[in-house]
Order: sequence, then structure tokens, then C-alpha cells
Amino acid sequence: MSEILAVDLLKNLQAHQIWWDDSLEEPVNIRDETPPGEVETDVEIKGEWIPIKTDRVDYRKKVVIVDGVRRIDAHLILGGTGRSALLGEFVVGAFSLEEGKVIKRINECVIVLPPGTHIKETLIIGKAEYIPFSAGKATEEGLYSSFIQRMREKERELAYEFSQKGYIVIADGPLQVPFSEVGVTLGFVKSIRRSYLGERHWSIVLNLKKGERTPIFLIRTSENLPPKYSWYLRLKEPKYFESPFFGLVRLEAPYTLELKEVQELAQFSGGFLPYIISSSTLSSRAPENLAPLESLEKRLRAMFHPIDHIRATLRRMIAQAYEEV
Amino acid sequence: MKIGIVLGTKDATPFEFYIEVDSNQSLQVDDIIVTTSEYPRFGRVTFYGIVDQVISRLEGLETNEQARFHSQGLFDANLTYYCHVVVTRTLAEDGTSPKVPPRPGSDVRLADIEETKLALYFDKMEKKKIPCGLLSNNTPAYLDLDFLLGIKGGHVNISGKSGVATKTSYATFLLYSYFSSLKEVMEAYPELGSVNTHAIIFNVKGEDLLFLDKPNTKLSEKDRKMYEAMGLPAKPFGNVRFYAPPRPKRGQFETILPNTESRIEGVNTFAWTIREMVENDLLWYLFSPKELSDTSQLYLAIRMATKWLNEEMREGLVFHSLRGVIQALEEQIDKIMDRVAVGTRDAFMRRLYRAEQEIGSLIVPEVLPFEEVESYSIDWRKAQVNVVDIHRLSDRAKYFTVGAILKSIVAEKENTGMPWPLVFIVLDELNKYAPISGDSPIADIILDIAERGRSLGIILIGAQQTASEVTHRVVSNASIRVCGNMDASEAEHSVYGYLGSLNKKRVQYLTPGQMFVYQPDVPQTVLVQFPMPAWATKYQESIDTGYIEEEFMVSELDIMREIEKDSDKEKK
Repeated sequence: MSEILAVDLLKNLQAHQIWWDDSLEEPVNIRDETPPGEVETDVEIKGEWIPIKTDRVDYRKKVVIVDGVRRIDAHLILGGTGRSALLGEFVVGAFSLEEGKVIKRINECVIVLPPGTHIKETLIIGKAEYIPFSAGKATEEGLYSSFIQRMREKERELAYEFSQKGYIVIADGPLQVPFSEVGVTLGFVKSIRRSYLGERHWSIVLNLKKGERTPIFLIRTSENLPPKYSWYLRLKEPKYFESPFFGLVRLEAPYTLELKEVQELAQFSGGFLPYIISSSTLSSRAPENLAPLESLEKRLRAMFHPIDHIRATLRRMIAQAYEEV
Repeated sequence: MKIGIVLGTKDATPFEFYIEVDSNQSLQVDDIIVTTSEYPRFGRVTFYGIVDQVISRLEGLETNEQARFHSQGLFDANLTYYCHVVVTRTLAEDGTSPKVPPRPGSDVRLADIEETKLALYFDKMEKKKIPCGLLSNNTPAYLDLDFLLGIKGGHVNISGKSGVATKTSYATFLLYSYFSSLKEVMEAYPELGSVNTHAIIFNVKGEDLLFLDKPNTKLSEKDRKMYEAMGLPAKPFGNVRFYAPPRPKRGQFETILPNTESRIEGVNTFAWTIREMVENDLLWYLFSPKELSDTSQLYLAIRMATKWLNEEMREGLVFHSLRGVIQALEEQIDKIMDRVAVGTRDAFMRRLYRAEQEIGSLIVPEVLPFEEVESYSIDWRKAQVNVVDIHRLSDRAKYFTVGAILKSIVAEKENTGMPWPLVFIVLDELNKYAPISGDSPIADIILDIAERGRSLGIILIGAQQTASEVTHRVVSNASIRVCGNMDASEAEHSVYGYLGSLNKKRVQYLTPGQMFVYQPDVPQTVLVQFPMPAWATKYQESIDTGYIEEEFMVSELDIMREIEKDSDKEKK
């Protein structure tokens, strides 16, 4: 599609004002994690919990880490209704521990429209092609949520693709449903915002030593969603002045796997994840952020189209759309 | 074949740009490259350039820690390999040279032989050029004869550390290249006519140059190929005369023999008769530059002494030695130098006596009828190349020899008023003869050659360890500058500005046979490699066997065979 058509498209959308705010990444009420439901703690160990030690293993295995990065490029105010559309870009990719490098990167630009607004063509700005799709809700949060959801779907597709190729996949964040489409994938949750466990078990979690994990437990979030296996793992022990959450992560595995397989994965995760952590000089989220994850995000961000160019072109195109003839 | 693209993350200008090298390719410093871009006003523009720096790094990493993670397979980074290129030429299809930058992303490839010629303007030299070594891509580099022979410029100046920089070898190689291309040179410059060009090489180190006419039997196949690549035969010089100072004599009537060790056959003795010394006004050169600058009145004393000697000799006075001259001067000094202060007279005499000890053997009486030679003077017109061995002489005797020879050439050229035949002068240790501070008759004559030599047909191929210690005007008058291995600190002097900042750092890594060559019409100094001499540089190289001992053994065998033959005859 030529730029002339793109200008027409903007005119049809009655797209007027554009604004952006780089400090605003996403509304705070959008959370990755679903609320806690019922937790079964006697999946691996019946009765009293004890920390489980893991043996160190070589990390150069057929393991990929999958993650995505996103950016909001612009908001468009559509007509006089106060409804808006969102232009965003995300890149998902995979880092192979075996090869020590990023082996796949896919980027996608999208224009998220409020429900009821439809366009057929992609919007081309410079070299970026924004694919249109409708959000579930017309609110700003609704647009964001749909945008993030779209990226998560791409991440899940990528995770599935690698798991089908025989890789163990580590995905950043909680596991995405449906599990039937994720294969052998571990969810890597680095922000411990809430406890899934009662006080008795939680004290075990906080006292985990480096490389130790809790027994596997099962989380049931809601009636509609399948349960998932989970365990806590200590990547690095906190110093006396640091929070007991420091260096603590939670891992998730799909319920579709056998418990024995999950146990192996849990042991494996404890055997190498504490040894590939990032450092505080590298990442503000160290040590929970893994070094390869940091690297992957860096390389994914390098795929973004140049933002200044996109915004300048968009501004010009909107001006052209309303040019007096 | 494509080797990379013009890099877009760094500025590309008409004068320099960067290349991102393809992952399956490599580029090195000195490689010559080509790229093209389309421009509305100019059409297809071709850019030629020389790589002067190559860089590799892990792109996208910010800390050393990340680089360490990368080595552990925990961090990905883009391994980038890029080069800095100095543009030597831009060419549009109509032959103009638009000053536009190459477009980022354009394909870059290595230059082939024809493109190399274009990149370094060898095409513009047409036939007026001689090979001066091989470039990094094994194609010949050329010197523009217009800037060598004095048409647009002249003179060559070579700098570099003694022993490593192979300055004399390069000077000799340039002469060889010139004389080997003489036929083409004559075609390019019909005015040269049938008059040949001559060269005088002052041999200042060892007896390296006494075998210029003998093939180097130890020349490697690789060196032969280098000669071949330049279109030069790998042969010794054809027409050479050797001159050496006289061996100290035991008796007055003993024959004068050349003072050489490794070779006597074919070596001529050079010396000056007292008449030549006086008539050619060479008394100046008996004094070292330092002595002359220390006592300014010495100039007056020398002038008066020369005047008196000329008059006396015209009236029939005959001297048999330099000592005799000095003694005569001493006897008459009050009469000759009445206007000179007594202190200066004493200084004059003292210095003359000292000079006599060092130079005395170079001054001979008139050639006597029974002697084999007609003259001991150097007649450079008798051979294409004249090697004057001065390496055994003391500094003072070197000043005298070099000064006297150069003076006679300049005088002769001035008399004929013609630049033809051309004469090349190869002189090392210029810092000794034309130092940056103080002036002397020898410095004056070298400066005279540097400044007027072009019109007189005298081309100076000068060399020195450090150009920063040579009179600036001598170096700056050389159109062609060459630099071999030298200390990086020396290269920082402004006189080496032609090298450019990166090459200045490289000079200390140059190996024997590698030279940076600068010439006016080529905007970038290029690195060339020249082969080992195809002529012998020592006795061992001039013979087929490796050791002299073996040669002796062969001779003994020959003698035994001769004896056997003789005894056979007797039996018959």
C-alpha cells in the first residue's frame, strides 16, 4: 500500500491528534498474573515440607528462553468521540543456551482499534506495517490489554514451535493458556508479588538456600482455567540488608505433563538457573533476571523501527490527510 | 565478489567511509576496494579507496561483564567487523570526479588489477611510470616519472631505521626499475634522446654494493615472482663501474690500489690530484662542518689559501703530497694571510694538519706517465651506474669525497647548461651532510641540488635514519617520500605528515622490504613490498656455492687437475 492510501486510511479513521508518553509503559492495573485460587501443597511431598537440593548441571543444553518486548508508538484520537486507537510494536524471540545466541526474532506492528471500528488494510508508516485488529474494550486499558495479549499469543506460538522441536522452553512470565499449545514449557516468574502458600510453607520458601527449591505444588486459578504445577527456587541468597524475596523466583509447568517429568524439570531448573543469573550492573531486576533473558530483550529491542522516524512520518501523514484542497 | 556493504551507522563522506564486512569475508589494512552508487546529477559514480583500519567488536554490549557473559554463551551480541576506508578517487561515467558520498548499504568489493590502477591514478601516469613495488593485492605500484625526473617535481627522500628499513636496497631497486624500463622511458620522454641516464651511488655501509653487476645466486623463487609481477627481469645491473679510495701506500712509487676487501677485480681507485683540489676549489671540504661553524674567520683563511695556491701552481710550483701543500702554506702564512687574525691562522693550520691525517691518502700527486690509469677522478659518464665506496673513510674524508664529487657534477652541469643526461645521486646519511642546524659547504651543495637539481638534471635520492634531523628544505624538495621501519616517536614529526595518523603508528611494525610511498598525484600513501635484490650484495651471493671455504676446495681440485694434466703430457 502506498503512502497516499495510508493517508486516506488515517482520514477515514478521522485520526486526529496523536500523543505518546514514553514514561507510561502500561496501566498499572494490567497484571500478568491471574488471582490466586486453590493451592494443593501435597503434590510432591505429603505432609511437612523440606527444601529440596538440586545438583548443578551444564546449562548448554537444548534449552531456549522465549520472551517478548513491546513499545507503544502512538495513540490516535479518532474523530470527536474521544475514542482512541493504539499503535504499538512488539518483538518476540528465542535465546538458545546451546548456541549461546538469539536464534529467532519476529516483530509485528499493530494498530489496536476500539470495538466496532474496522479497517481492512495495514497502515504503512515508513517501513513499518501496522496490522489492524479490534480490542475487547474501548477503554485505554482495554486497548493495552489486547495489545499485550497479542504479544503473549506470539510468545506462546514461539514456545510451542520450539517445544515441538524438542527444546525445553523457558518463557518469561506465567504460563500462557491453553497448555496444550505450549508443550514442554516452564514459566519463569520473577516478580513475587503475592504468596500462593500459607504461612507454614512460606517460611520454608523464604529460607531457601541458593539452588534449593520447594516441593512442587499445584495452583488452581479458576474453574475455567486448567491448573498448573509450580515451585519456588532460590537463585541467589540475600545479604543481611536485602529483602528475603531477593533472588527468589517461581516456576510454572503445564498440568499436561506427568508429575515425574515435572520433577525432572524442577531439578533441572535448580541445577542451572542460579548459575546464569544477571548481575546488578547489568540489570535493575538482577538477580531474578537471567543474563540470557537480559541479552534477548536487548536484541529484541534492537529490532524496533526507529521511533522518531515513525512519529515524525505519522505526524506529517495526519497533516496531509486534512490538507485543504 | 562482494565483501561487504557501505556502513550506514557511521558517516560516509566523499573522502572516507566505513565498510561492514560480510561474515564469510575478510578485509585487511591496505586492501583496495571499489563501490558504486547512483546519483541524479552524476549517474553511476564509482568510489575507490584504501582500507586503513579494521575493527572488530561485539556490538550491542555495554559492559565488559556482558562480553564475559557472551563468552560463556549467556549473552548474545552482534560480532561486527568493519573497516575504515580512505577514498582515493571518485569517478563518474563521464570521467568527472563528483564529490559525493557512497550510499550506505551499497555493495563493496575488492579492486581488480585494472581498478587498482584507477584507484591509485596509475592510469593518469600513462607510460610515464616505473614499478616501485607490489601492493597488498600483488599488483604493481608505480612511481610517476614526471615527479621523479624533474618535469613536475623531482628527488626522492627515504627515511628509516638503519638495517631494518632497507633504505639503500630500495634506492637501488628504484634505480634498477628505472634502468630496466629505460626503453619505455625513452618512448615517454623523447627529449631524453639517446643520451643515457647515469647514477652515482655512495656506498656507506659494508661492501654491499660492490656486487651490483653479479647475479644473486641465492635469490628465492618468491622474489623472482615479485620481479615478474612487476614486469621486471630479475637480473643484476648491466653497466656498472666501482670506485674505492686508495689503499694506504707503503712507498712513494707503489701502485695505487683500491681499498676494498671482498672485491678488487674491476674496482677503480678514486683520488684527487693536488692540482684538481686547488683548481676545483676543494680546500673547503678538508674542514668538517663543525669546524667551519665554530670559527667564522676560517672562511676567509680558506679563500686566501686557495687564491695563493692557485697563483703559485700557475707559476710552476709542484707539490707531491697534501703534507707538502700544508707545509708550504705554513711557511708563507704571514704573507698569505696578513688580514687574518693570528688565532685564526693557528686554528687553520691545526685543522689542516688534522685533515691531512684523514684525507691525505685521497690526495695524490699528478698522475705519472708509467701509471696504468690516466686519472683517478670519477667520470660518471663512463658507466650507467657508478658505485663510490666511502664506507671505510672517516667522516671528514666522507665530507671531502661527497662534497668534491657533487661539486664537480654541479659545475659540469652548469657548464653544459643542459639537464640531459640525467644523473641520479644516491646518498644515505643526509643528516650528516645536511643537518637541520648549522651550514657548511657540503650542506650548501646538497641544498643547491635539492632546489636547483631538477633544472640541472641532477636527481637526489637521499636517505637518512631520521628526516627530522635533516635540513627541512632538502626533505621538502623531494616530490617522492618513502618511509621504512622507524620509531613511532620519530614518525610523529611534522616532516612525516604525508603518512597520515594511522600509518605513523604502523611504521614501527614494517619489516625489511616494506615501504610507505608517497607521491604528489596519489592522495594516499601506499604500502609497497619490494623484492630482495636480484644482484649480489655480498661475495657469497655472487657465487653458486654457499661458503668461501668450498670455493677454495674447488680451486685446489682445479690445481690438482692441472698438475695431473701436466704430468700426463710429460709422460707422453
